[in-house]
Amino acid sequence: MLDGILLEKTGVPAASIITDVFEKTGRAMAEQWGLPHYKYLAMPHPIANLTDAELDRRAREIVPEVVKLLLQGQE
Amino acid sequence: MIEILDPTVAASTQPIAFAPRPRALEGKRVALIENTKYNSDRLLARIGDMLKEEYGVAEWKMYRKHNAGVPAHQEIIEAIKTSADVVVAGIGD
Amino acid sequence: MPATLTSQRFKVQSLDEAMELCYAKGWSDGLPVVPPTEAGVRAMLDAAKLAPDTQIGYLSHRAVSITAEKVAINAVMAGCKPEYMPVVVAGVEGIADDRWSYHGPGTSTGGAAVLMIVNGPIARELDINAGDNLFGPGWRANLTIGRAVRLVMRNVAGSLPGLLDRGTVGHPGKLSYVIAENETESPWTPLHVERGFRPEQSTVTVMAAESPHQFYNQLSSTPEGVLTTLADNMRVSGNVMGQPNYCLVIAGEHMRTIAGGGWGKKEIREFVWKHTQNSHAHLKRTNRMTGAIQADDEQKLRPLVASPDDLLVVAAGGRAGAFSCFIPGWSSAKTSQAVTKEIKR
Repeated sequence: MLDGILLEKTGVPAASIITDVFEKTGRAMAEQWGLPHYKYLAMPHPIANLTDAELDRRAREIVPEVVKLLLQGQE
Repeated sequence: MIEILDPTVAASTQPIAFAPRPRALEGKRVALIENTKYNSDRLLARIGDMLKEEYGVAEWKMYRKHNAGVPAHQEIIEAIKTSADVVVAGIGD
Repeated sequence: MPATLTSQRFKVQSLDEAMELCYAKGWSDGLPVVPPTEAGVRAMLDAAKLAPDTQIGYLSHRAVSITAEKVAINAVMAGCKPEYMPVVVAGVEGIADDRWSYHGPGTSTGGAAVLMIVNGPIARELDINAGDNLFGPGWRANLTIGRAVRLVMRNVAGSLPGLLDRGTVGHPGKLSYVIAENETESPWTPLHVERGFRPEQSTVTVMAAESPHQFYNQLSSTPEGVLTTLADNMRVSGNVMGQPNYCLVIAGEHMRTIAGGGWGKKEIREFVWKHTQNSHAHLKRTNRMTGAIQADDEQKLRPLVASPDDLLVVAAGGRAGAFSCFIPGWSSAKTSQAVTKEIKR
């Protein structure tokens, strides 16, 4: 998630994705870095044990959100 | 009366100029940063493919962090600055 | 005119109220803390000869600077005596080092604690336990020094359970995890000398670590005998695949048996590295390595640690009892390494 923040600072639009159990952690990191309202995406946890079909489904679910975050940004 | 001192440090809000957004993803180059966790790269690759097929992205390139616990190292950031238009980073534990 | 302390202050009417305020504000690790008054904090800073605004470390992953003032406040809260402050400072310098790489071990679901090994003359001066009940209760120095470092992690670096500390199960070492090497009785080169320091220097070595795993061997009279048992217990431990640092804590009886056979730390490391290897077939059968089992997987071996040098050997623990222990590190030596810092006095 920090990667997204660092890349924004260098001028490249970024979308960060975490898994949902780490929402509080992601928010705490953003706050620590002085960006309490930083927007990022969350998907259900875990991903390590997903099958190929499930990975396809996860990608399909999140792509529209990724596009929105890349185009509409952090405002 | 006892006076005690605060052991904590408060984070200070930093002003950040977020990067300007492209109007659309057509023809754009996507950098994918995977965090070395299992399935992170496979999921990001699928996202990259869908961005190409459905949103007209020109190409995607995968970058692998040294490890999940640190931000992407400087070479990755330098490479992305010059060769990608947008970034998707993630995922997993 | 001494430098001003810049931390915010809170006024309370009594000791009880002070302790409850610290709980209410979320500054405690679960145990009562010593209310940090200006006098207590100044005594810490004076003992370590530090100005309050001296930067002890900078955690780049958290964008936070750790000052001597904040370390001193947390050291008072932990119950440290002022003379412990230089040890606490060295511990904080260790975890702020890029090689320890704070975010990984500090935040991970792997639940690592900060194992702190003290070497050099300071261990005897401060009565840091190196003997009986090594990891157990009873010694103010061991428990408060470790606790101080953890309170800094909590209160300065924000490593709060559920937020920036996601250890799934964690372990009791996360309250405090400090030992000294028993240099008085050990015939071997002390850890800090192996790691490049002079014997008369005092140091702290920090390692991101799981809990200690005890093993038992009462029957053997040779180094190979004792270490074969150790290797058998150890071979399938930790995350098995990651190849982190490991710490081997060899206690009195085993130390005498191994040294009696003419073995030093180098021989211990080489033997243990060689005898803690797992076949790819076993790793795949037990769902640690992905992929179908190939024809030669029974012969292909993966060492538990990448190199014998990744094993830190420490002589410590009681004189009596045929028990020693191994401590798995966190993740991989590529993502977090043990770091040794001099204790400055």
